[in-house]
Amino acid sequence: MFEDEILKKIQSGETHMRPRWQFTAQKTLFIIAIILATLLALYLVSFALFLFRHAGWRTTPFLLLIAGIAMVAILEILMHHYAFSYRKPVLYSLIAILTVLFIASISIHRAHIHERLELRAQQRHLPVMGKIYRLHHFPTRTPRMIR
Amino acid sequence: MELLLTDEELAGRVQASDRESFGVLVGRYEAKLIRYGRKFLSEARDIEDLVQDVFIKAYVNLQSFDPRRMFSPWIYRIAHNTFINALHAHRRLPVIPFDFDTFLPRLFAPETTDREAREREVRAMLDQGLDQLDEKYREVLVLFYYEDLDYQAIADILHIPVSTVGVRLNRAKAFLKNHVRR
Repeated sequence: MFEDEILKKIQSGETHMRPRWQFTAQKTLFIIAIILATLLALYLVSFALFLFRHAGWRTTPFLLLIAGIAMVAILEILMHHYAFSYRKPVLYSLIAILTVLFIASISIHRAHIHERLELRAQQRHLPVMGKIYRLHHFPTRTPRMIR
Repeated sequence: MELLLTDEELAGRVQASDRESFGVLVGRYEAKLIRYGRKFLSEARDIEDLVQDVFIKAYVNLQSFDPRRMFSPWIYRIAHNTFINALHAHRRLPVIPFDFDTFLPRLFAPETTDREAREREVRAMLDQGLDQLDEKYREVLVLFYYEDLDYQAIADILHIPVSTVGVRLNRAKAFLKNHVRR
């Protein structure tokens, strides 16, 4: 009988229940991963759109856009872990993610976030991403244009 | 006393260190999971060993179960993952496993008034044609007809949209009707 064999394994200590805190920690890390993936996707997509608006499609680094799309795909895979996502067709959650990114990108555009970051990059006050902003420097714009 | 408790109440007791209650849960699900494994895997393999693995995994991970939810889809999900791993043990999986029939919203015809007659017809064909079906269609048939689970529970076990469950069932039934007639 299964019941006897399994209870024997449990009572002998051969099989242990994992403690609840491990699952709580896993869930927390998962949520952090979703937040980070969202922020990264938002940054990549808004930055690619920023470059496209100021330099046109010929100089827009499509690699950046592809990286943004890849982050959206990763976000979709992470969200699929939850019932509210997997119970509906993938298209619905994809539309929801893209809608959130679009609205957030508009907010970033209105707040001139990338313009401010570009200014900091020109002043050499922006580590890591500074090089990319300087590569796509737009000399016709001055700090006064950024309110 | 334990026989009167629901699966969720028993799981709650096991989480509070009542190991004997887990034995009751094993007793309740042993036959169901063996039947599920035999019908789904179809190939000759040691189903009892796999089902034992399922119960061990269920015990090890029981603290992740929320007693406010239903226990049945939770343990069937563990069984599904165990059986899928056994099925794919010697096969190459695609780099990004993606099922196109979960992508778009789908319409599926709701059951009509002659449902009972159709169900009897399908059940009669099940054993003859089950082996011929692709695993994703075979599994929904087994869960719906042999395990008597509803669309919502099947969606929770397989982590697919509810509409996809209906679509796969309809396709599987259509295949059986065509195949068995031949």
